[in-house]
Amino acid sequence: MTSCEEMLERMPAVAMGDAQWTEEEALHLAGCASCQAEWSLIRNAVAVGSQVPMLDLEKTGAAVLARLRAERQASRWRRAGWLTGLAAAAAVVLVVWGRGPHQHPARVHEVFRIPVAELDSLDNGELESVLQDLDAPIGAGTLNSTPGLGDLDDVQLERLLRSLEG
Amino acid sequence: MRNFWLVPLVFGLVSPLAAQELNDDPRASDLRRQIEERFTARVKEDLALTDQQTIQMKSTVRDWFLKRRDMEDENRRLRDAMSGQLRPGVAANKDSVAKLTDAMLDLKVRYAQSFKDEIKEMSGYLDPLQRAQFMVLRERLIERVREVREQRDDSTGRIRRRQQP
Amino acid sequence: MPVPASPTPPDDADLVRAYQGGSEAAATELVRRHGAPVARFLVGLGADYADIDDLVQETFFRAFRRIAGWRGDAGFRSWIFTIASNLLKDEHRRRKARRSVPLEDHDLPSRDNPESAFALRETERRLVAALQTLPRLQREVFLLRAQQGIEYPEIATTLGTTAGAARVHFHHAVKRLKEMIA
Repeated sequence: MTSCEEMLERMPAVAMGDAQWTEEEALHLAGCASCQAEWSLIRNAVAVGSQVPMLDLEKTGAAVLARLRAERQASRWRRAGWLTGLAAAAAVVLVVWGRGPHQHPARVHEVFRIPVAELDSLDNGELESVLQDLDAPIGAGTLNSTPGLGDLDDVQLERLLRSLEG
Repeated sequence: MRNFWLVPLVFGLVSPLAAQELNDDPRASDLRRQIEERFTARVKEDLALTDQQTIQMKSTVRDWFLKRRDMEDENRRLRDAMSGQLRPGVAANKDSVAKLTDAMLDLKVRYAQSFKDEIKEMSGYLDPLQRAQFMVLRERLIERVREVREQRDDSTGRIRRRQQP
Repeated sequence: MPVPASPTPPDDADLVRAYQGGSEAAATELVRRHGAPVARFLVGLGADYADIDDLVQETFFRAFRRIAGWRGDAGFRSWIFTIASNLLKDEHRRRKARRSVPLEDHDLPSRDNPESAFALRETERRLVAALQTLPRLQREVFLLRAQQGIEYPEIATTLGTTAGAARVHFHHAVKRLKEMIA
């Protein structure tokens, strides 16, 4: 005999049209209020978002690719050693002089902070201690005591990177 | 071996999924902000980040920070569940304990992997030396955090021992 | 004369490899295949209809940027769902920081937006509202299982849990949602 738990496991597939109720299951559903409530829930879940306005996925795909290309191009400029500051300044000039009033240069100077979750559990004294170490000159204190990357030869650096990146 | 220090650097890279009880004092919040701002300034300077790289790094570190925060939330839930199982005087459900243990170990692996994946993502816009520099700078900071925490644990232990009859 | 067999369409792993090899058409196909389910998943998570286009685009943008992070252990679609979920959570935190009104009022399609007012039937709207009250893991397990029809092992790999735990989460979610919506 089909249990309510077994019915629940079958509901997603039936609701999506990938399966059908057996006769036994249909009878169970007809006589079980709990399963009927769950069936209603699962059908609603399948329906959620089905009315979403038709996405133009071709347009979405094109926009995604355009952004990726722009990002790769920017990366190539940097690697080629172009004067990115000059290029950016020129782009800003173009934007200001050559475009309409509604376009603005990208905001690249908004506040950026690398989050460090490990700080969450430190008390105030400990945080102050860490902050002081950050202000210490190069070569002093724990934060600067490990050998620099400049001490690694190419083989060691490559090995380090391989271990980091898999 | 000459490069012995590489071993703790690599294996010590990952900050353990330790119990993280948030210090929500307003002064603490301000201190954390200052530390993160200064650390970030150091990273930007040492790596000579361009504006574009800064934007991209911001997106990367933010995404992975949020993911690791979710993992920390999950770790807390698992720990609480395990504490519930291991209460003194209560018979633990062996099956549950085994599953919780597996889940906690899996989570540790995923947490460790997240640091690798984060650095790997940066390969899209940082060169190898920049990535290694970032890793070293962050590891130094995390190592310092560990040290201050251990000092706290050590001093707590000494006090506890003195109080024993 | 034998009828030539139809070529088997490339699977997601093939398309990902092709994209990594430089094929933009492969990327377009991945968006075409998975865009609509991602949109529906985002709606289930509480995204506003008005934002769906941007959210889907940003989801795929992030996915392709870190395509090396998909190791094939979970399905590509499930992996994209994870990215979408994190993106939405990020958006909510950003908006929460900018507003003082309770988050819940703005997670759902706005009553003031004529387009979105008709976008969700009342029953669906109540379900999405109820889903917001569940813990994140339960909410996502429920949507992946009930809305997307994904099996427990895949859910487990995607969300970093076990198949058994995913099943428990699903059943708990169903029980709580039933109580809330009944």
